[in-house]
Amino acid sequence: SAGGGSEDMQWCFSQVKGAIDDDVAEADIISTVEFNHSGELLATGDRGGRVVIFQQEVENKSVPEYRSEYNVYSTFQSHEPEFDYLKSLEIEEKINKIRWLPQKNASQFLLSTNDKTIKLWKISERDKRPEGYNLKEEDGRYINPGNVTSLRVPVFRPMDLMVEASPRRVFSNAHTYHINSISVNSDHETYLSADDLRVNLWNLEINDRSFNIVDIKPANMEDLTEIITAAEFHPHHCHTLVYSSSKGSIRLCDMRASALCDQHTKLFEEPEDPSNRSFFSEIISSISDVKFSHSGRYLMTRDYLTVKIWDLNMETRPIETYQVHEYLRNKMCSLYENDCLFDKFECCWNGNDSVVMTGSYNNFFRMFDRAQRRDATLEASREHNLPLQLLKPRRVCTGGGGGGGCSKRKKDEISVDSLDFNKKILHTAWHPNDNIIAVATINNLYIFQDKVSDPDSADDLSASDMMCTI
Amino acid sequence: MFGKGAKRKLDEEDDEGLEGQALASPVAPGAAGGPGPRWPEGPSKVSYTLQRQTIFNISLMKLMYSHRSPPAEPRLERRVLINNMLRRIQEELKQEGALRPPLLLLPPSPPPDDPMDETFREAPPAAGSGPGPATPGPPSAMPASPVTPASAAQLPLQLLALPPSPAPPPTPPPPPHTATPPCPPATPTGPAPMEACLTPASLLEDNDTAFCTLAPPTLPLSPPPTPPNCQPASPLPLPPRGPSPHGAGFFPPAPASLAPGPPAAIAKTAAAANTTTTSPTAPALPLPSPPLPLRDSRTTAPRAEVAVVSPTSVGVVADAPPASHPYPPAPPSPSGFLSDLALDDILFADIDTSMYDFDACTTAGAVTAKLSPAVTADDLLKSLTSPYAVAPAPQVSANQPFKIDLTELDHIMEVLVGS
Repeated sequence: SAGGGSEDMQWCFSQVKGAIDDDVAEADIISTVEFNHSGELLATGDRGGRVVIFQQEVENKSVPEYRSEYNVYSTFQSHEPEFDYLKSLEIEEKINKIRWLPQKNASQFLLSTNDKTIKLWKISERDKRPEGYNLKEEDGRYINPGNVTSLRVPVFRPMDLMVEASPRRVFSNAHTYHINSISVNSDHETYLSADDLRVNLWNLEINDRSFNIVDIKPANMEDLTEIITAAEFHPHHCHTLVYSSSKGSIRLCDMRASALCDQHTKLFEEPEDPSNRSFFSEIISSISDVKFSHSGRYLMTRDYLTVKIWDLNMETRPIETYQVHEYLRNKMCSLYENDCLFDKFECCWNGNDSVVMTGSYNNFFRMFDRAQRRDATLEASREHNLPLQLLKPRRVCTGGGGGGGCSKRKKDEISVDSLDFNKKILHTAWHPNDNIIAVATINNLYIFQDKVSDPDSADDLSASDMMCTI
Repeated sequence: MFGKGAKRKLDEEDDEGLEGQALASPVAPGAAGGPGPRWPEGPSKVSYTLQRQTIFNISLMKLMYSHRSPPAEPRLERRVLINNMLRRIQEELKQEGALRPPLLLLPPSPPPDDPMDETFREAPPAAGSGPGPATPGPPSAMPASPVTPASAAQLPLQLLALPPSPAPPPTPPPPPHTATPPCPPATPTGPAPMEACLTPASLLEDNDTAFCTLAPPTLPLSPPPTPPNCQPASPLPLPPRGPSPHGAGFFPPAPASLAPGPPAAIAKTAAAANTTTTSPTAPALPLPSPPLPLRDSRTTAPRAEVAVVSPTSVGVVADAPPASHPYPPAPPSPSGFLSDLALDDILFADIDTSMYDFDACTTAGAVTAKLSPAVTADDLLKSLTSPYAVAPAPQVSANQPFKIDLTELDHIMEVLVGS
């Protein structure tokens, strides 16, 4: 299937990766998820600084029901914790973002970054090795030349597949603040990295220099009221980038206009709704993620309660706004107290930009079908782990009254007060060409695929479990 | 959602009631067509005020405590957002102050010189020995001082000085709770569990009179019937500031100077807190003019002294020099040092101050001369809004701050002498 949203799109469980027990090691907490450009590889980064790459099973790719089987392909330690002695502060090894480079040759390349340093990794396969050296034994020991009596030419012989990851570039010392985004340019030669106050432009080949293109640091840091939260290059126009702010605005910059893009070309900002104004208006307006559509025509932003779709041609307001968990609006004081209000949810497009997805709490994640104007709430849970088991839509009740529960408690309904705010889905990814999604809970990675509809199957009767709207 | 001024049903969820009031915020001044803050009336106004105060305290707590070990660099976005929250609340309070001048008599605005001056750093050594650069007036002059927006800005810190216990036991803050303490006292060992810090709206209704009183001349005479868990955890008190002309801080000397609502409660609790010090002349409860500044002097003095050995003493957090790094553990502004230290100090009011020669208790009348000057909310906010400010290490125990400071001072002296 081409990755479009269909009337009957339903999702099935495919796999779950990660530890089963509830005691979560901090290092195992997943911090980023990203498919490569073909969808064949799926990379995750965690707080321990490790990158795990899963590969789609080759044999099963052509079998629709099993095409979303991914197995571990490579694991490596990308970043180590560092200690900044000058400031007496630790630099976390947590991988904030992974971005794949488009594939040019047999090897794969990805950029991974923590708070301060970006690294370019080359992931290459080795399935042959040379054998038959003249001067070396098979185990590598050198032969006494005096014992060599004949010449032979070493040949390559097959060996068990080995996947090697090697750091090809380390881009460091360019960020005073915490890196929140990296984005590879469509020219495939440059990329940007953004921290709280600056956006830098790098050449992939040059790691000792970067060019600062956006700087919003005020002369007096006490005047600082707004920071950069995310940045991305346009998918097709290599001169265009956007960055979002903690005040809910998005600025589009054209690097052709000036070398320093402090002056934006476009400013996307929606006026505040006065009826919704509260103490927390600014915090919930802070944009946690910004993503261009594959077409390059639209921009998606995620703030605490909503997903917004913007048309690049209209700056005054988004063209679509989707409520992710509006029922949390009455809980914002508590969420502020326990810091949940600062959670940074990501969002993603499907392959043809018809459906968008984002995470929520209680291991719920939300999908919004733009064309069909339907939305769904699904859950990533170990309770529904039978292969190809259909995910049942979830529903959150906001009912008032003393109990705070649903008036008629159905099995798939849960009240707002019962939500587990420790189970948050911050990172999701959608296969670029297929209806395969990767959803990261705190320490597990779930892979789902859309249900393959079989006209003869009795399973179609379960299509009565339509996606329900909240 | 609740509209402005809408009354809540009593049988609704308390949390929802309080949360719902989050929306009943007045229209910001400057909003299109808005003449200024429009207050919700009646109990929703009280709960709005209380919630605002709660949020203010929560915000300060968030900035103060670092949850990480070993300490990592603070997240700038989080700090900026919290700072903005604090500034907004302060702005609102300023405007409220501007709207109610006759009811708000606060110490006049701080001296015109920039509190972030380098001279600031030199002020603490002078504390206890003389006034700040500006000419201090006697505290008794305070009641007559006009209200300015800047002085109105000192109001939020009054809002902060709410020890958890309403009763006036002669114990140092944080006082032990007699009732179940949903609001635990702020401890140094880590962030106070804050889940319970929200005041249920039902309690607000119980204490309508307490919170809605406008000008309570008889207010401070008896402890308020405030609920045991009425206020958020932190007895975040008054960090000292640089020199201030009127020294005595933000406690208004006269009851009539108390603003309506929470400031009234503060006056009571200030009286309560007053008794927790070893001020020799402080009566148990009332709020007369001298004991207040006296309390200030008692508690600000050690802070001042602590500030003497700072800025390096902020190496409680880190030893890093305040070089040109983005998240220095020591805030760049001296008031930031002071505020960090002051909070530690206040949290451990039983600090042994015997090593410091300070007899402010004998100088009640001329207390302003000795006081480490009061910190205004502006300054506190400024110090906190510096993205560089990092929480003091929560592991500091009662007597250690001073010893650590001296040790580090020795170390610094060695380095200086050696070089």
